[in-house]
Amino acid sequence: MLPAAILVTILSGFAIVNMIAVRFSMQEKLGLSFLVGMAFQTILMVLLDQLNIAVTPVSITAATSVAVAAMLPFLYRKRQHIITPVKVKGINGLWIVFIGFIVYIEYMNFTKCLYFPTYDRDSLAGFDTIGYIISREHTIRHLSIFQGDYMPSIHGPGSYITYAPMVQLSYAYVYMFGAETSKLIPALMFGFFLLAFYGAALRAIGTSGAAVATFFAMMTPQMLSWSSLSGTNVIHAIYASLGVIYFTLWFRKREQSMLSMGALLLGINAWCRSEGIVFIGACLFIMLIDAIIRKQYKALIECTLIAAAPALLWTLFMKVNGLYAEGIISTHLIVDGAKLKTIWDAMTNHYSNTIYYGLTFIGLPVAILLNIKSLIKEKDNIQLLAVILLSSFLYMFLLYQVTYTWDSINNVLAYSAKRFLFCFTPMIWYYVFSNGSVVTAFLKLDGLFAREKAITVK
Amino acid sequence: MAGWYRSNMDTGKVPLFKLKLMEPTKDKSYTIPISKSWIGKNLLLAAAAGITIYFLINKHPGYKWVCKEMFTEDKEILSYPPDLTTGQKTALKLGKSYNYLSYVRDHTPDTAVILLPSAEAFFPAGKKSGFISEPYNKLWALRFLYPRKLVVPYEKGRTSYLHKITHIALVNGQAPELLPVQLDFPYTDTIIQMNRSVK
Repeated sequence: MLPAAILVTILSGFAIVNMIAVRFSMQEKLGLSFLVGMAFQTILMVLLDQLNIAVTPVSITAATSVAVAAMLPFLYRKRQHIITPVKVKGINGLWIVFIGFIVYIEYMNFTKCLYFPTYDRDSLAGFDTIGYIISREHTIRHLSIFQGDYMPSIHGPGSYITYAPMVQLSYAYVYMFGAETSKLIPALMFGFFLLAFYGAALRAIGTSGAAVATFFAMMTPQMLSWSSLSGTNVIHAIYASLGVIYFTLWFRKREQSMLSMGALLLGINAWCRSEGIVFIGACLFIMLIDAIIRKQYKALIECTLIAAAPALLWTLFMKVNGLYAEGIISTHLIVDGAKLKTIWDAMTNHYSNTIYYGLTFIGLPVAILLNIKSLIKEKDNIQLLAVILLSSFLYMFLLYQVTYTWDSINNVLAYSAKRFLFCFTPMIWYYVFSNGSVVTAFLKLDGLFAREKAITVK
Repeated sequence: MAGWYRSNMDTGKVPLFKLKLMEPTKDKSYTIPISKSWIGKNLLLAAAAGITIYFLINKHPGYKWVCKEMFTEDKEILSYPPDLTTGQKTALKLGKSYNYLSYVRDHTPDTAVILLPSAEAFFPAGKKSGFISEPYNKLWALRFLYPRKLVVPYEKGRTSYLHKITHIALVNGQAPELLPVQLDFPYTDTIIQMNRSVK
């Protein structure tokens, strides 16, 4: 039953991706299919629960079938573009070695991820257990562990009752369909992410550059290590980074499909973790400036609605069902120099830590310097750079505004903030390799080593 | 079939594995999509790429950690018996914490309401504890004990489940403060059934 459930998820995601972006490459469509499909299933689970329908394999499959059936007439009209050949052109020795290494590392990582059941602390004391209990009680809002008498601390500051629902519901989904552990979700997420990232990189960078960018995005040491655990951070990083990448790709060709996909993935990013709001904020701010300059606001409104929808749905669901916890964000501006210094010191320590993030945060300033001329003259890739810098700032501001009554600031900075930076690593590698000068260099290399004059056999 | 190959060869789209199926005729010339010089150049490029990766994973401490330490563990996994149960695999990672909770699970009914020991009981100050991670955490322990209900000591006075306790879990020979009777038998890690309610 589990393989069928995963297949249904992939197919439903594939249908949605085709509804939004039928002209995407097959690499992108396949990569995004599971990512979008899983988010879609979790949204259906919340809606079913709100409609007082037990969240069971039967009800989820029925709801998915109805939703996909509703999409079929639209998909039928686009049928000739839905399945297109996977184009692998201009491959060379560099591509073969890097892709070979990526496949090998991902195989090892996937094997490890699936072998061990969940054992990391944050999952057992949170997402995995919540997902497991949802799968047994077939409800979210009436969950036994959300009841105040049974869990007296449930409404305390930072309580798991208000965690964004995507990860725990995706775990509930696989448990419901008979999985013994939830590790299938992070394993598949990371695999599909690599394919989607590679597809998105191909779009802007070219064959060899896409392979090398995907290699560096995958090899970020801490992120790769956490990708085989059940935590939320890598899954969140997947949606946040792809969302920002597609959003900023929109500025290049102004294709509606890019913007819609970017907005959808950004919306799912906040469906994964509430802090994801910083990426939505940064993107919308950049878009607002662009809209003011161009005096066109339609795209901004559409993007805002799509990106905000999942977070609004969850907020509404919590409000209606009395799922609340004491707030941890101060609504008035805190003035505390020592706290600011603590946060700044911790974040700069993270940024300079090459053991955790490899060459990521060295790559960013180097890429800016290499591209400084085009950046100033042609504003090359400026939107992506602006989103990276602005969302970093917004995240630090968020950390500053948190009232640390539920955990110590040092713990949050050492562990949560460290893992939050995973969101930036694929974005930064995408930025590094999609800069004009780097793209030109890789395209020259592709041209130099591409299949040339073929020999003639007589 | 030959016609199909012919038309695709002209566009350079002939799959490599099909090449041996083609039979050159006397009058026609065929193009093969790769050349000797392409192979030579790309072997050099592949070698350069391989050397780059080699240096990266051997010289850079972060990437070295990934390939030398993290994946060493992965390689070990491939040598583990493939038929281990999920419980046995969990025990490999969580050791005594999982084994103890499994013991509690196996010796209590699904309807049990269990008083879980405190963090101090699991990890007594100044003493070595065989437990790892957070077996005292209610949600953590629930992953292995669900559908049993759990009560933890610091919830005293805050939950009605305190009065519904059917079993008390004991670890490291420490009797919880809430235990209504003195135990007159030796024990370390066990579970006892209650026949009196906790006040």
